[in-house]
Amino acid sequence: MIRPEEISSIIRDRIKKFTLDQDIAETGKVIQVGDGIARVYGLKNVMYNEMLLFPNDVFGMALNLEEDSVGCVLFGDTTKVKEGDIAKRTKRILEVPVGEALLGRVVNTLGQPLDGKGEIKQTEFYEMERKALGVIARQPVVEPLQTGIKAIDSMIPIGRGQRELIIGDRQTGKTAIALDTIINQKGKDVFCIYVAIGQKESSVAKFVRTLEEYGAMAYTTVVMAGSSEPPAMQYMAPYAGCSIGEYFRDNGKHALIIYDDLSKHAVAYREISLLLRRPPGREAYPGDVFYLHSRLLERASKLSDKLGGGSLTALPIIETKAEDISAYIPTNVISITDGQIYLSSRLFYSGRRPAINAGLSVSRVGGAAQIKAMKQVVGQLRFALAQYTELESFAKFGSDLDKATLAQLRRGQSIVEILKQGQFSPLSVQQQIMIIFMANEGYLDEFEIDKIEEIEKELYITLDTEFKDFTKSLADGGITDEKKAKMAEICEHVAMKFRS
Amino acid sequence: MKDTKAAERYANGFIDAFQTDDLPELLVEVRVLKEVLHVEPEISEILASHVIKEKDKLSILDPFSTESKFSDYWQNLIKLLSEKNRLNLIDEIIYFLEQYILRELNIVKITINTAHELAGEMKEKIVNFLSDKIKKEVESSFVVDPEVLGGFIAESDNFIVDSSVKRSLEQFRLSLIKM
Repeated sequence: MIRPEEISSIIRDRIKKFTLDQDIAETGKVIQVGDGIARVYGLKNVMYNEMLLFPNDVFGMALNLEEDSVGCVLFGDTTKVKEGDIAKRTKRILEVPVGEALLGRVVNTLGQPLDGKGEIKQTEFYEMERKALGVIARQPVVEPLQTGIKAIDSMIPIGRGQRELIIGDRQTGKTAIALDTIINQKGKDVFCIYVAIGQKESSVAKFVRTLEEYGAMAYTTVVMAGSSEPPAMQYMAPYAGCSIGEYFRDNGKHALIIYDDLSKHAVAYREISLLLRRPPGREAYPGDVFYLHSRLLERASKLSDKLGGGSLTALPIIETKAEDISAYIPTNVISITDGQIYLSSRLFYSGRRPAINAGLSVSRVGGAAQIKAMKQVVGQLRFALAQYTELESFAKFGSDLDKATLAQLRRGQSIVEILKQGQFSPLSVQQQIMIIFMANEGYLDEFEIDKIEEIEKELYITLDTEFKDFTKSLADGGITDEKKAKMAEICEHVAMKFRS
Repeated sequence: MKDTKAAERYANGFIDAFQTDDLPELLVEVRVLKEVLHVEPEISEILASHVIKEKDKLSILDPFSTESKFSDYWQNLIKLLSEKNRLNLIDEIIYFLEQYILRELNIVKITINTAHELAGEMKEKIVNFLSDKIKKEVESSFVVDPEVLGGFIAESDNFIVDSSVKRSLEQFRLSLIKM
């Protein structure tokens, strides 16, 4: 119970310790304000990206340093700033609190809590705009980042420190992949940061609730700049999230950051740029829209062993319109990242979930990080799938196909079927190796397609119960002849149960 | 708002052409002109008017250039402004000239807000304190503002020194909230 005497003694103590001091600050005068933008006269020595303090504790950031005025974006309630107000320099570049205290929290761009769980007591701060590391500090991607999704971990593997784009139309399961990936990091010592840019608050609330349900919030921070936030908050949100991730990376840990999504980020930046009267370019985006994303994504990296070997993996999301991946922002981000996972609405509605189009998806560096056993077992999977897609159209002609083609088609169908995966059901790498092996070696070809799901489930149960020790050893090293024989034995054992 | 960029360039050009070391004397002339324009706002209005011909505007300013003891440069400046249709910028040009000279002379104009009228000795103390703090000569003007509550707030065009009770109480309030 709180005692009034205790409170009054604390207050008395505070009063005793309180000293009067002066606050000396360089100032400028607001000459124009509106649409989240203020133009300030004066502030001759202000730095680019410096935080400015306006009356009523509204913060701004200097973006346009012009001959006689400074254009800045406002982060708070812009209605509280009016013409003639004084803007003070803080001599601080925009910073965000970082550290483990942020785990399990939902914060805004400035690192202020939005979840009602109280103040975040944080002593360490990182600048939001930090320069990406140079070549000496980095090393190539060497460790895999398992998403738990068969189609990704097998064909489009992601390495720790990689930047892999998730691209697709609306409602194709982009965020679902991000969510599954976060859930799959449980117990893997990977800290996750989810940056929601211009998202509906209800969607983010649902996302957070799901993470809580699966116990994933314990190692996750959600940075939220919803669609009702000023464009400045949306513009800086990914940089703030990146700094939070960099803290883990710099301390030798592994972090995963998801930017959901960078199309809305580009739109927010376009809005700011147009209001700041910067010249518009293609699709009215400003000239530096490429740099906007390249400097952000370049910050994802795998540190050298000398610097602790930490990593920051980035999964940016881009929403396309009518599957047009050749639009301005998608092409920009595709060229910046180390590959892309392309989600097709056609596949999504035909029931293939995740709706990953293997033909258009690629991982440029992740292959080097894929574990040996997976690499061996995947082998011709992508090739077989491509062949199947091509032959699929012939299949429509029916019975005129030769035996070999029919067999190829049947194998393709099995592969397509095993690559389907429900949401919130990430698989271990051993389970993935086994099911892909089973499909590749033709154990599934003899069964009806609708039986495959059942067989798959049975396989996982068998692995977890009867072959627990062997399953554990599966991920260590490559697949030897001995191992292969054992795997075949397991597949045969499972298949036997379904042969009637 | 008027075209301040152009006014600043005219002011810089004037200083370049004037090439004088006697900036205090120039400052006096600038301030007299500023005072005249302040006392007689009609002059600025006439100069900014698009209806009145440039020739007539010049004739209004004639006594200033011919009968005063001002340097010839002023006459030339007025002629140039008339030629370029920029007589409407005269207020801004004078403002920038004053700013420039004050900067060169290491002088800063400060408005000091206090809760009560201060005694002369106290005013001097504050001015000396500020002068020490910013390492510049201070040209002060005192204003009574009861909202300050105590202490003072010194404001210039590009900085603010807040040593008021109002701010201290606000700081104290915030420290109690964070407790």
